Amino acid sequence: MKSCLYFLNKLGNRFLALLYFIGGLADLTLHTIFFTFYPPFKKRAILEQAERIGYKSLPIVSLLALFIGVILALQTAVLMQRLGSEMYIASIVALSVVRELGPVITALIVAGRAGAAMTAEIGSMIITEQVDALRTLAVNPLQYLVVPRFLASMLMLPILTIYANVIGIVGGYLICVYKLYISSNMYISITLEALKFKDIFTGLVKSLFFGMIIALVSCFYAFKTEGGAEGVGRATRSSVVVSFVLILSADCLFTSIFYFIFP
Amino acid sequence: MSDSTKLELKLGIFVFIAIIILVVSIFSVGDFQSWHSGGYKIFIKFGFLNGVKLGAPVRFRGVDVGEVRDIDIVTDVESINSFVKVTCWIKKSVKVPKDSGVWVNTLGILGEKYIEIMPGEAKDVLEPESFIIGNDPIAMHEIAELTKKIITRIDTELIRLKTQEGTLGKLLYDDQLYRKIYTIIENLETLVLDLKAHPWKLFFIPKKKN
Repeated sequence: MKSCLYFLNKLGNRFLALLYFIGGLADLTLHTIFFTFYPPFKKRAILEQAERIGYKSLPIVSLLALFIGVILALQTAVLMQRLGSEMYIASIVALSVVRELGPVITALIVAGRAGAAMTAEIGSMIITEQVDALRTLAVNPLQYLVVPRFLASMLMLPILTIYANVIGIVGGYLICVYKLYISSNMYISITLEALKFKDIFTGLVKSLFFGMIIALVSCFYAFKTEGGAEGVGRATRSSVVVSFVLILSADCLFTSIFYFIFP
Repeated sequence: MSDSTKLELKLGIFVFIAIIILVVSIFSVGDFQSWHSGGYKIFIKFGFLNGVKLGAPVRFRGVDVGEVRDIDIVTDVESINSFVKVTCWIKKSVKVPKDSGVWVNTLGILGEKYIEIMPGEAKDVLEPESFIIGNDPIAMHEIAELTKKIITRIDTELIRLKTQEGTLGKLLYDDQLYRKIYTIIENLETLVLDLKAHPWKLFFIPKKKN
């Protein structure tokens, strides 16, 4: 009986924590969107964040996208060679990279790299009371810290995704042309034929939302940082884990929307 | 160059290249090319379509020249007769003669359906937005029914053979018949051997008794 009550108590607490999380995140989202359109605009800060999130993530995003393209081509080659239809490798690589893997891999890398840095940075500002100092100077910390990160992350993710798409397809191209001896022109024409405008568009729309999720979740956990250095570590860990979960669940939601409602 | 302009230059190049890639890829992917180049529509009348999908390719002499834009079922209000109206978009440069044959064909291992146009001999060209009548594909169930019919027929014949009905059945299974034929062949053989040994017997005419 006692253990049963304990269990229910634990479950209820978890559920309440979930509700607090959803409420807090929604609150942060609405305020951030409101302050996005509210002057003064921090152009300089946005550019700096854009450089950190977008430009500096490009090498690692490119490297991983290349690997993804190569892996996809090799894995599908095993099956397609058995069926004697290696031509389909090009369209499989193109479609899965552009529709799914490009946006998701980019978002996961940025969440792990830039999102964790955001949480750690703002979190340590919180525990050293720099954010309180901002408030005493009548500077809104949301506007000063969150809005530039939100805008930069939202705009940079689609751009990183475009690079990831191209480089992923190049990875597939390298395997198909130099290992499976499919002609280069044929690979390119099959890729272009398989892709539709809608595939590129839905991938970029998804990555736009992934960018928002990364910035908002990272800032949300940063503002909840408590205690000392250990608290910063805990906040960073939670922000990365929750970003990953939310990115993939948002991806599932978008994919089903695009599948069932706008086929 | 100061640090601030350097940052802007870096970001500028980064974003600019991405936008160029995006624009180039949007202009070169599959469905965009058909938007800007000119074409016209023709309607094909089918009784049965066998699952052609929207966007299925249309081929003229085996070359992709267009796609299926719309599929409608048109029902005549009075007689409740209906047919399938397939709207196809075809490149402007392709001229389809009026007496062309139109079929539904199957493509590749995945069994995608497409529409095949083989040109006829006629000199007049199909006008845009005009009808052409397609040859209905044979439905799977019709093929199955026909095969079933043929197989039942063969089966009844085989049963008749087994039960030794008819000449063929007797020939195959009747031992007595076999033995008779065997004796006849044996007799024939001795006859031929005899003739070989004494060819004059061929010309031998026994004297008539008066």
